Amino acid sequence: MPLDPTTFSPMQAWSPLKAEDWNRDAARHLLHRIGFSATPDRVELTYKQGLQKTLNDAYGVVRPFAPPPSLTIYAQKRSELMEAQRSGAPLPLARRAAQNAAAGAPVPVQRQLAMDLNQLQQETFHEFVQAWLAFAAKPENSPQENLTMFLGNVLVVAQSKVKDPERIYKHADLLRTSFQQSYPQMVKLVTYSPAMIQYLDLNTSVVGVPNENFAREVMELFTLGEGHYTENDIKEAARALTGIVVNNEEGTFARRRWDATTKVIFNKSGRFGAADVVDLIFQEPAARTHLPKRFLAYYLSPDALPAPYLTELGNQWAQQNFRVDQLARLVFSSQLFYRPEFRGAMIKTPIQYYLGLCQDLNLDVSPFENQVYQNLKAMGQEPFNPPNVRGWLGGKNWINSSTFAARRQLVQQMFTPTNPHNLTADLQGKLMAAQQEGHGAINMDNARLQTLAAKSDEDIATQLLNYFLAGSATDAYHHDILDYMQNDQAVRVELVRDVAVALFQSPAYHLC
Amino acid sequence: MNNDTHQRLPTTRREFLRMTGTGLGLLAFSAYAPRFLTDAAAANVPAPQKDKRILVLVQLAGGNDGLNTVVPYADDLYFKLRPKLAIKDVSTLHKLNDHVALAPPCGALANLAKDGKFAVLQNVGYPNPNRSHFRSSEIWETASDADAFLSDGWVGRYLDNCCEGAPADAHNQDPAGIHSTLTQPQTFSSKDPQNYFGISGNFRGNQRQRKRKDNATYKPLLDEFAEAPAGGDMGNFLSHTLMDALVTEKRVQQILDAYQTTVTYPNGPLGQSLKRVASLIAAGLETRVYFCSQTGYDTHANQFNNHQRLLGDLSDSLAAFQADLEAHGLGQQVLTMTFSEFGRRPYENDAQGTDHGTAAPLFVMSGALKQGGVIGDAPDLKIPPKGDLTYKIDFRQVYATVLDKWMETDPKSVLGQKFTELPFLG
Repeated sequence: MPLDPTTFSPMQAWSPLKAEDWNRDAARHLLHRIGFSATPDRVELTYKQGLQKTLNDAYGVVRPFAPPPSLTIYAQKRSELMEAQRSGAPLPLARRAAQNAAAGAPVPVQRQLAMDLNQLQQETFHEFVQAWLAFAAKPENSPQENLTMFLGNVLVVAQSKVKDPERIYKHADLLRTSFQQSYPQMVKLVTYSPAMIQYLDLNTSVVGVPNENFAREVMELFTLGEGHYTENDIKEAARALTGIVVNNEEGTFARRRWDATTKVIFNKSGRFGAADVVDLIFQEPAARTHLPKRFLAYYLSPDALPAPYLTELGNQWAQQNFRVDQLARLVFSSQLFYRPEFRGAMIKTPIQYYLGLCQDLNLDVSPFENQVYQNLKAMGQEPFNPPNVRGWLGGKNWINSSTFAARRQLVQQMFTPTNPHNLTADLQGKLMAAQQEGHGAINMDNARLQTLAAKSDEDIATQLLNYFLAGSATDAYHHDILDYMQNDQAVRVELVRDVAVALFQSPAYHLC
Repeated sequence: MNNDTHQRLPTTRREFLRMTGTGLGLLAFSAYAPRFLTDAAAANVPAPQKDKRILVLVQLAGGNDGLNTVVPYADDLYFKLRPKLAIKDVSTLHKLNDHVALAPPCGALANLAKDGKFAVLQNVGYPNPNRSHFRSSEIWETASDADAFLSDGWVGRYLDNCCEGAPADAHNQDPAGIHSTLTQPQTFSSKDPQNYFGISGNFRGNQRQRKRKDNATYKPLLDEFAEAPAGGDMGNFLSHTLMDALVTEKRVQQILDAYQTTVTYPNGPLGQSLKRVASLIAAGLETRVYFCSQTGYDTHANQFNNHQRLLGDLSDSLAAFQADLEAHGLGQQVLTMTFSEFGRRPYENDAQGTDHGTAAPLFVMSGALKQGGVIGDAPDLKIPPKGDLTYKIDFRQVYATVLDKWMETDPKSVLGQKFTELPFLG
């Protein structure tokens, strides 16, 4: 039965799920959407502890993600480099200079520093991404980090332009640590995020020559959506948003750069500044529904809901003072969220696919940060590096023959035991370090498959399908697995491996 | 593993129809069968013989230095701007006219130019140029204005438009576009899901290497899973895509493995990609757009030798490709076009390299060119210190010409505005 506001009222849609409708399937659906997977133990736990406790665990406290050591080292080296650049002192880092000199081709100091910084930024960024993936892969952190990712796909910055990994970290951390505040407050904070200031050119926006880039995106993409402001609103808001600069890696207000004259925004006039712009925006009705609309597209369905549902959700959210965590609670507690047509009907994001595999297989995030990054890139989602200010479009856009091949290759990789002798010394070191810390389980070796292989064909099929596939269309899969297990020429554990590999590559596993 | 099972998934439409006629049951299948099957069956007509003209895009990634590619040897300013980087021995250049010449390693392209099969379009760029690799690539690939953001690529938009209502491509089992890059190029991004296929990654190496690397005994089971209903709109979409990919993968692999040519291609990635493209075109794939990429053009330091080596590889690869096509009687059916996100600064930097610039020459190659040689004047080098080149041809004029004269579609429907076309195609 399609959603129809006349038979299923918006009021009812967003009212809390009835107790009798809370069951293991509902718990599984919730886990798949707020986090990255729904392993049977988590489903059981979630079902038993109930919906409200689960949401409290997910959004009740902020779980800090400390900057990985490489970032601290990076910040230190960055200031050394800057200092050397100023003073012309001996170089703290000159790998390429040394190489080039050896090759008989000297490169001037200034340029060398820029190249070294560039390389250092890239390396540190990949290490940061790896550390973040490992943090997000812990099931207790997953809902928070998924929410951080959602917010990062609205309040977009991209590493390709920002480059500095510490700014990228700080921006994401700002979203992570402020999701219990109001969204208007979050937008105000983001206005002073060095990554954002740089990404949308606020630092070049000065009285007399305002840059409209941020003013436009704040209305079009962050808060209102197209059609809910005029070009003049943007021009005026751009003047109000002048004067923001990055000073000593902090976003600061430089009054002398600010346009102090009167602006007219949404037919109101005043000597507005940055915070006023945000306050004015949130008096507009469209601000009530914009973020909820993006939220539903990310968490519920790629197809937009009929307008009355959105309006009602927006109004309820406004009553909650636009708190982001309250929006999450409203949606994930609602009757509408649990309707059958929304279950198993979204395509996992590449990050969700990767972290979901780690959680489903009880594997650690690989310590080979470049490989992980390349895998995600090939699947179409470089973490913290969306293609442009619109962020990732999601849904069917995740899937094409290349990204599908990349997803399949990832699974093969995770199921191919690592032979340390085939690794470079550098990678061997990373693997050993990870193993010493107890995070070295990165492949499905035969030992992990033996237990399953000892079971009957019927049990293997049932267990794999129940464990890993949330969707309902598993009868055909069940039959196919039993057929496949009939092959008595192959080693049994290899057959189980094949079944698992094919299952994780199958269409159904990409759904959540 | 049982080989029969592995053969179950067909590699051609005919095979698929035969197979579905003998057991799978077309009706039961139609909800989740790949596009080519359902549409052909619904229309109950054979796929129409389509226009076979094909476009091959070659990206010179990193920003190619135009002045050391198409050298303005008659202009003293060139030598002044580049005390270290200029190609000083003019006798090694391949003159295209009294003003400009191709760089020394580009002899093969110069020969094609003499035959009217190769043209240089001068000073191609766009207003308000952006110097970020990422952003400027995006502008070229989406064909947007410098201050606009489009999410779909110009080829993707072309395919969305030309296949609206599915008259052309729906009957087609072959991919609409094939790329040799690891990820799908933004040029191909589309609103409607298009059937694209990548020939890097899985298609590296020869048959023996592949076998050793990809021990894919599970594939028959994956074939089964792909055929099973996954449920819902998204599930069906995933099944379609996976099945299209698996079918294409087998078909493409067979073509690549069986390909015979007398032409020797350079061993670099570009030459080998173009060889694969030639084999797919020669096999009669209905794919109309191919995308290849050559990397390394971001020559900030120690440019000279690196850049000349890249140009040699480019020239030899393109010429081998054209020769191979001609050997298969396809020389007039294919248009090859290069592009790069920007040119480089006219003055050299202090590291014997060049930094990100603006306009640059662009190459087109085909047996069907209306005009070969040089189109447009040599770049104007009378620029202020630290100045930059000015574009004369908007890159979208090139796209408009290709869309109109080659792909036979209304350029405005793809580019959103009208651009003056150029005379290289008739």
